Amino acid sequence: MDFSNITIKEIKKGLEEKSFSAQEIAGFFVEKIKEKNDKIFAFLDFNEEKVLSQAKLIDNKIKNKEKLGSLAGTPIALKDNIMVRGTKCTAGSRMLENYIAPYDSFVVEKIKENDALILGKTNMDEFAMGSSTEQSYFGLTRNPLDENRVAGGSSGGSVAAVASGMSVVALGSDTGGSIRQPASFCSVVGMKPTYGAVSRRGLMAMASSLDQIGPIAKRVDDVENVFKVISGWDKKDSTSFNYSYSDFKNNVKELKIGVPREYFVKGMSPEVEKSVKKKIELAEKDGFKIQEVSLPHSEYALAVYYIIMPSEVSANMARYDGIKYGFSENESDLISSYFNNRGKGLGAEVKRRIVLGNFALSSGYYEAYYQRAQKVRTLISRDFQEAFKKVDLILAPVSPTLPFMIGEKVKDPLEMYLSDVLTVGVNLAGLPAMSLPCDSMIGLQIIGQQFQENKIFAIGKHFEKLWNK
Amino acid sequence: MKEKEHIINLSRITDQEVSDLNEILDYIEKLKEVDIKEVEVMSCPVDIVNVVREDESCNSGNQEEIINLFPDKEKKFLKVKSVF
Repeated sequence: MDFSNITIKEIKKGLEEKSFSAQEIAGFFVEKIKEKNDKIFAFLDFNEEKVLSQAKLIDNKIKNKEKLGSLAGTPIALKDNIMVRGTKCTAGSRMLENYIAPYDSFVVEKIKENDALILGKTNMDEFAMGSSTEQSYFGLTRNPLDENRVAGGSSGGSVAAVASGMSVVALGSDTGGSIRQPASFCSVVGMKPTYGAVSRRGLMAMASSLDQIGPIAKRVDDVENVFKVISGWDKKDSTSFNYSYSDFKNNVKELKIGVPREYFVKGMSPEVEKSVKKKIELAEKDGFKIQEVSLPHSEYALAVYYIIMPSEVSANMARYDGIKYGFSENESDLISSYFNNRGKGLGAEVKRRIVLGNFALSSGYYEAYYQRAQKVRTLISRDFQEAFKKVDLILAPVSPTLPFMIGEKVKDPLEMYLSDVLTVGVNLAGLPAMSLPCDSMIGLQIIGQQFQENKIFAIGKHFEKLWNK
Repeated sequence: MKEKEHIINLSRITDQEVSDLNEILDYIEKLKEVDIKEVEVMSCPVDIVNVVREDESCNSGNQEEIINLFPDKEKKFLKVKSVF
């Protein structure tokens, strides 16, 4: 049977009605991984036996007429910064090349409770620092739609796994656009929840006030169904919010839409601009009330992000010293060991951000850089709050360009950072946002108010139907 | 120059050039244009309160797995270089 376009709900129904078995589903996706992963390199770690034995357990549950979880039999791929107990978790880095996770992340506990089929761990820019998945120690991930182009990053592996049909759904992480941008580049749906909606326990921290884990799939309802499972309060994550999701029950046409003029940046690809504007016009023709809004501090978002994020990174990366775990080639004394383990274990982009962060936080520069950035962050967040007094949702592009060619930007850090210009504001303000594919390799960004993911999903599902007419 | 080199040293890493950072620090200068008078800092974008719990010990159940990750050990002890 061809499971290429199957959804989460169809899998569960099929298993309950005994139209197929979990082992058949597992076998199908295992074959796809064997067929495609060499070329695309979405998966870093994939163990066929583990997958098939998970599937057997699910089939036993069905045989014993036990109740099945909502993700029963759904193949899921996990970004390699999300810990799965007993499995290697590398964060795409030499530092953790042989690190085996000693506990399950909160999200992994939830998906296991719901009988999902974990296929394996996916490739990523090292420690989630990058916008192309070219910064992985283990090699780059190619865009399944055009193998000479990048898959985007840092969740390139998770996105490519779904886009190429090697998995039905995946989890990534988004600190400055790392789910939305690759989702846009590979034409799948990718969503970053409100800060605090999904527990970060078990996610290797990059920037603690910005990181969120989020779902990736081909369709909005699959993303929504995964979000329902992974969201909610975790007492072991002090930044997790007591949030319970409820479906949007009102008329979706009553949702007011804003389009921020500042997000159609100078130098943006005309193809991207045309595609996104066309979809906004279609929404207007369909009866949505659309108005222009202004987010006046947008031009500063990237600078704010590239101070706050490296500052938090410098703190979070201090633990990687090769003493308790990780890459360790100890020298004669402690300080030399630190230099050696970190010097050899960490890649160039990671080092760049650690030093930037330490600099921004150092005495004499703290006020001018870090504290100033924190104040501008307040202004960026206020811009969104003002806009949301007039509208329910904001529509914008995700990336100013189409996916760039492999190797095109990797030598120029600032060029690479500019690809985040339309996504970082959302993380700074802690808002939820989703990338919805609107043309090949182009995504439309739907930004919502905090804890209003249901409006994003409702309009996303509506647009999917509208555009496929 | 000296300050940046000092920071690189404190970061305990090798192979990081100061010149690399200068381009990015130049870009960030644009934040000086913003009027931040009387604006508060934002450390966290969502209104949440920290959590506390009773100081009770509990078993995490994975000591073996953690000990197996030690690069240098003696029985259950982590071996480290002397600090002084």
